Amino acid sequence: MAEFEWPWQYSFPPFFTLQPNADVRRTQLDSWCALVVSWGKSNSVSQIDVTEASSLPVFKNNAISRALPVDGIKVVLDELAKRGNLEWTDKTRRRGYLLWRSPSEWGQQIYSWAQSTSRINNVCTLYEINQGDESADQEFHGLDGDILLKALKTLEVTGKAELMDFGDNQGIKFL
Amino acid sequence: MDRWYWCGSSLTAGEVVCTTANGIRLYDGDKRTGYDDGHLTLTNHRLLWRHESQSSSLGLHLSLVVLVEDEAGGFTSSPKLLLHLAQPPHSKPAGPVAASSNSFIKLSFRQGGCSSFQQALQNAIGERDWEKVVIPSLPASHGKQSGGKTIHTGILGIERAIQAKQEETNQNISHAFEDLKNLMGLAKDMVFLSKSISNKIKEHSGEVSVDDTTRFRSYLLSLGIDDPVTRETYGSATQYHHHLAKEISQALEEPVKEVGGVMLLSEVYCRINRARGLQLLSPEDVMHACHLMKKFDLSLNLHTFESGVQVVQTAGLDQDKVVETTVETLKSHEVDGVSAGDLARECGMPLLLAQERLLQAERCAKAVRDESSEGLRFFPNLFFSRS
Repeated sequence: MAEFEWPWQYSFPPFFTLQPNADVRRTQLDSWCALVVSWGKSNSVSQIDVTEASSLPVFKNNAISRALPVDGIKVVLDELAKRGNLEWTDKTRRRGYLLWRSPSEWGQQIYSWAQSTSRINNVCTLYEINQGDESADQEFHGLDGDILLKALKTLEVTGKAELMDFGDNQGIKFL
Repeated sequence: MDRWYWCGSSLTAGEVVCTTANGIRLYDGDKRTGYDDGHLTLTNHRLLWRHESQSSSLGLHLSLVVLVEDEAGGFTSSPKLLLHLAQPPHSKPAGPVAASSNSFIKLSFRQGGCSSFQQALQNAIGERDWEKVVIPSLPASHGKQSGGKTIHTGILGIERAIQAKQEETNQNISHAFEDLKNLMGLAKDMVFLSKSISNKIKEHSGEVSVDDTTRFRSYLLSLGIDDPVTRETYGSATQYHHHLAKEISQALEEPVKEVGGVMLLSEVYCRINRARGLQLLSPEDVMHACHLMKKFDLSLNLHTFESGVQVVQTAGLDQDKVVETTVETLKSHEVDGVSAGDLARECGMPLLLAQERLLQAERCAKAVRDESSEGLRFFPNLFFSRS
């Protein structure tokens, strides 16, 4: 995987202080959201825990010894949730899925992959989709299981697939 | 050892020999000296040590002896007396040793008699006979007595000294205030005189010569404001404040311009009072007057920052321009940012004002803040300019 290229804001000290000026703050949060999403994508981070977030390199730049304070991290994560790039897994908002692509987008991608590999009307396991050899070159390879399930459920809703349960294993039939 | 001095063997008036001892060696601190095998005489004033071969004696005034201790002898050492000594007086006859780091001496008794000598010595010190002598024509050694006296009066003496010092201080203070009172009295006359003369000048400008007028003007100018606005001259408070506002804006217009168009209210207060000299203004009056400045369209006006800091600024001051200059400074420190202290140093303005400048720039979205363990610093707003 290519080295993640930090944006210029990452080495700009005021980036790590939430700006009081409303206009400036909006721009700053835009930059933060973009940074977190692209960083998550590049490092395949799918879940973020608020308590652990402060140790993530994205919120901390040791080179200029600046770190976004916990309050700031919460603001950024809330902003991400507002924009649909983050989904809280619990009501207390301590953990969340980082969605650098929405579930329906994932679903679309998986469906077109299924089409191109002629899996329509066939059944395959979820493991095959995100871990199997045949999807190794796909973007959703290595995707978090929960997010994958979400993506497939969107396909089920639109009638493009059918989820099946085989005891402790799950499968899907593309229609 | 430096407390010893050369003297004759004759006794002064009122001096009585108490006891004597032979075979005495002198020590400077713990160090043995060459003054050995001498004859030691104790009088009620002094210790006198003399070697047979010498005509003059070494004297040590008893007033210098603070404490006497005995040191028991052993197989190889003879019994000794340890004498703790006070600081020598400044004027002292020449002695064998000019200066010594030790503040004690030892007397070594090689031929016995140590304990009886100690007894007599302590008695002599306790008696303080030298204090009782009041004879005007005392030898030089008397100078030492008064010097030693203050040292040896114990706690009571120290208290007395402190009291004396306090009295002296009190006197000095009242002297100083007397001077001030005189000055105030004179100044009152001076102001009165100046007023009457200026009235005269107004009434009949012909009577006083031109020379006198100019000279008088220059006196007044050196005093500051020549005709200060006072509450007495203007009956109602608003009238008074109105005129005061005029006076302040006239007197401080130049200084405010010099410092870049903005001056802290506290500095205004100091400056105007310094210019007025004796008719001092209260802070409230200055503030009321400054509040009125806008109303009367004067050359200065009062501006209150959001933080509550109040400044007086020139009426034509362009806020955008001020922000612009702040941003210029910020841009020259794009890498490490600018703190309020940096800006104050660089632009020679008060710290409070520098902080206001930065916050103002921030409000205009021209600066962004960086809060870290190093404190609050400001950077140019790259969020807008770069992306």
